[in-house]
Amino acid sequence: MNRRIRPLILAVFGAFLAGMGLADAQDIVSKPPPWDRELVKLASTLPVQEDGRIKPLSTYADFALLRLNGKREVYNLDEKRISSTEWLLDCLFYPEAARRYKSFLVEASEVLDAIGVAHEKKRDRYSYAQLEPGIPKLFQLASQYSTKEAKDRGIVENQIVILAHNVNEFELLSHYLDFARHSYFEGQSERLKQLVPVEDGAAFSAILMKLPTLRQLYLTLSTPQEGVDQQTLAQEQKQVEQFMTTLGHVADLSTALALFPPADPKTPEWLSPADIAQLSLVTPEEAQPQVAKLAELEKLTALRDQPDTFKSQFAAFQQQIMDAAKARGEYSKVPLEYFYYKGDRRGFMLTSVLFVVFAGLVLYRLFRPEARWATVAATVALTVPMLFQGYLFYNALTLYLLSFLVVALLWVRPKSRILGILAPITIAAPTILVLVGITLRCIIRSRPPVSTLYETVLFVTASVVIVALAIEWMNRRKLALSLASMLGVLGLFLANKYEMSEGVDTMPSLVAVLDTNFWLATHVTTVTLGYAAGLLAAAIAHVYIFGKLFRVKPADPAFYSSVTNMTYGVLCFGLFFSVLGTVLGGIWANDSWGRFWGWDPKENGALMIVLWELAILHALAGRYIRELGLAIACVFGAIVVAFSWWGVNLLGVGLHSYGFTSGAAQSLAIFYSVESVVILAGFVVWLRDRFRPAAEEVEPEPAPVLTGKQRTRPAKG
Amino acid sequence: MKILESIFAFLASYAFATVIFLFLLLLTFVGTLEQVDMGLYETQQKYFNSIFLVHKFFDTVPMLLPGVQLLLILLAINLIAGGIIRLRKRATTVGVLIAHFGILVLMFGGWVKYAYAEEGHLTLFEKQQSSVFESYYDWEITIQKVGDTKEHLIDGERFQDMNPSESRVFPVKDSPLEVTLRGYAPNARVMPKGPAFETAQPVIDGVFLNPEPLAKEAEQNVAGVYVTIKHTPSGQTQDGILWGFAQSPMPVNFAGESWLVDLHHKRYPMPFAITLNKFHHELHPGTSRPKMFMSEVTKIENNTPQDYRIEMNEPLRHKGLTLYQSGWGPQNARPGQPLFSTFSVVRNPADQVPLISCLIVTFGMLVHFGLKLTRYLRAESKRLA
Repeated sequence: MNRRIRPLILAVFGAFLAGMGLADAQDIVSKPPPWDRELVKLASTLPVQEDGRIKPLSTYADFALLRLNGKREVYNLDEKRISSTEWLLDCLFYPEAARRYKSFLVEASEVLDAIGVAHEKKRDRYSYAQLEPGIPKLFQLASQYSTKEAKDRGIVENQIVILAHNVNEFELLSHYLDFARHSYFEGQSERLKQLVPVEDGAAFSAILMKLPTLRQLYLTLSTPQEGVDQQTLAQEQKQVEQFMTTLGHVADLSTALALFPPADPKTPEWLSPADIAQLSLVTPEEAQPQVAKLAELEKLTALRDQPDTFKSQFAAFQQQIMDAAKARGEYSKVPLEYFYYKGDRRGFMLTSVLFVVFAGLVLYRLFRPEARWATVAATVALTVPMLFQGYLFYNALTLYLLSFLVVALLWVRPKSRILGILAPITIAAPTILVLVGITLRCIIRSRPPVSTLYETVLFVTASVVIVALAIEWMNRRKLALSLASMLGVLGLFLANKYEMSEGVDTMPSLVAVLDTNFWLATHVTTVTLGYAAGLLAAAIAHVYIFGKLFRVKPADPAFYSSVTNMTYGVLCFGLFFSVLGTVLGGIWANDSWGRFWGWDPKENGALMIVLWELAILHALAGRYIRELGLAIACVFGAIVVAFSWWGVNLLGVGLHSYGFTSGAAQSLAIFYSVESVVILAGFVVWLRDRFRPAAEEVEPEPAPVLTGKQRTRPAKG
Repeated sequence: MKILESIFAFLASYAFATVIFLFLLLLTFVGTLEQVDMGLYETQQKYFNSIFLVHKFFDTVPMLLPGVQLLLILLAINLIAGGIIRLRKRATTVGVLIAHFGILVLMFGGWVKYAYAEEGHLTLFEKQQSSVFESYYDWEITIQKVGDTKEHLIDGERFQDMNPSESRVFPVKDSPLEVTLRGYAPNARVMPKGPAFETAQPVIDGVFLNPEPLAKEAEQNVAGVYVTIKHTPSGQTQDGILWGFAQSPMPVNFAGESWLVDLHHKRYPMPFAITLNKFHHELHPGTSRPKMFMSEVTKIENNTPQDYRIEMNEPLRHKGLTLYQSGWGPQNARPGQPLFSTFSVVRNPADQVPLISCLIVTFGMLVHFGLKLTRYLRAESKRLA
């Protein structure tokens, strides 16, 4: 579990809140008006510190909602889809409504059985209000299961822990602004109102300003005074104490978002309202400017039903935070990250124009076959708008899917000129998008392209597609082109799936030992390129095996030898990077731990790829295997790569373990099984060829690269 | 001669190479899976630092397998015989030859490290100084006469392989003592013998050595051994227990003279001293994820001090020794309380060999695969033309 374990503090305060009347009335729920688009953008780019870095609020909201809902969107009370930022705004300003959004995805209904909540389907979405009756039980079970290690928990137990985390996270968000909504003087005695040095009905921030005097008052009341009845004194003391405790409890609920940059540039931690309250108690002078900013947020809470004032007030608040962050040099990457995830709606005009240009260029190329530049220009015209329209990796996936369609049609109608023009464009455009995405990530985090498991997926996808396109450029057989499109789809699908199922920020801060740009740039990228090549070799090998199995082009040995050549070439490419990456890894380990090789699982995984590829090449050189043998071996290579890439992380040992959920284990098992079936298919082909009537036996011509030239001497043994 | 030739041909063959690779692959795989339950050190000893071993597949089917050490020796032979001597030397194989040579260099470096490297750690509190580092795993026994600076040493190599039932005698040179060790336990605890239970172990002065199963992390093992010291001139003896975590050495008195006998982790002297001035550590703000560890140290050699910073990925290399930042504590220290920093210390004569071999192998592969690619491109462009 990568997720931070948060204390389930609300379980303790639940009763307290209910007693104070903070828990909402179940009946009257005002529907929040739709948020203004500009306001949503303002909120999105509000900087917040989470998990050790400053990010746009929209990133925070995205991953928070992904954790809860498995999506970046949710349906509101009007059954309208709203974005994660709008959802977050509702949680903050209209908590009573947000509690009724079906924002909790429950994967297994057994969880609901366990906590006694009614349900219909096995897997469904529920609102907080629906779950509410079962929440005490949920927290009780979760704290019981939390004592076990994640891998020792059953599926339902794990789901219960996850749901409890999610409910807790939601509660922290929906109670975040309670400090601004709570009326601290309601129900207090007249005597207290007289005693306390704040005017009746004063807001949280105003009380914070007076905190030192309040504390002084408490101390005065605790010392016996002459001429005052001890009992009255004790009673007054108790009232003040209760007042302060309430203040503390309400403040403690507002920890979810660290929104306030500290004034001292040397202090790295941003502050939540709870932190500001704490600060006001410890160092009142230092806290004052922060309390002033807090007051701005407080004002917002009261303005929620006046959209225009709300918007201008929000803009003022955002400006303040942004300026403070800028002064600390922590804001510059925030707009870029917002663009990375959300694009830019202002690009709409540009988008429409570029689409027209794109169509025009394709047509131009169609009628002027010699105008190669038109293809390049059309690719750019297609790529740019996709950059502006929403999340670029979703767009890239869509384009890859489109390219897959185009390529499939191209196999059916190989002579079609328009398809011949569109195929490379529709593959190149998403590939450029992926490259832009990777580059933006590098800039946002000031890091080399690969530093987390998620980034390996992006990098492998980009590498596989680019290598395949390079092969296509060399031999123009359409085969590599088709694979490029297919693997692009698969790669991005995997990336999105992983991002969604994990529900954690994919740009985390790194532990000290990994935080070294030189080694990340060299070792990690080369090893990852090795994975990519191993997988691509396997993909091409699939074509060989399936082709033979289904007797595609049986009379065309040249086709098969060209497939073999591609497999062999990619394998060599892979070996090069795997060897280089593995040795570089050793050199890194030597530099940071003092040993070149420590038999750590991740190191072993990389070594296994090297060993398997070496075995293949030496077996090939000794002619123990030929074309079919190479194909089968490369498919097994995919299993070795998958084990090294994902499998060893599931073992949960070693210095490299990143840790992730069991969904990956299942997908991995499926992958192993499917590839095993392909290997079996390869053996079926082998057996069939072997027991074929002798007359039909035609030994395929050896491929040009694999000719005897590379053999040294006849091998024995 | 024919037989010799065919033996050589076999050793040099692709088949032999392929089989070695497959076995290495298998062992790496099972060695990786075994780490989950067995711990890294034990797995290494069993699978990687061995000649032969018995592995139980699926925890049931036992099978004799060659150890990685044996396989690497065979691979070196195969590489020299087939990959270098027999390889036909021509333009198309020059890359292969270079790459093979690079791998050989890498293996040589590995062997040097295995045979000659000294590894251990140096743990210092802030303001503390030391010029020795300690092994994580190996032990030694020192015997020192009180008032004398000379230490007599019994190296762990001479007793760490003892069975619990075995006893060995070590005469101490230039001294009237003779040390007898028995009942050696690689991991043990000294426990007081209470009235409520019996123990098969000898009880000395009310305590006995209780052997325990090996720890999963080998550096957590604490060795212990029963010892009898004999004063040869008088024939007097004194029994005792030596334990790696004992608070103080065992005192021995004979004929008015005293000695101190001590069992501790093997110590290696360094040609310089290290003082830890300050240890820094930072977390990523608002998380418990470490961002940075750094030790400010002063190296003192021939009375000349020099300041260094040792960080993650930034070790201090000097005089063949390399000091790496590897740990710190106490983890729950209050502000102001002095911290300690642990450095891994390695003396590896082949420290830079992997880098050199990496360059050679890369160059070799570039040449070889580059040639193949050009050949392929030429063929394809002819076809397309």
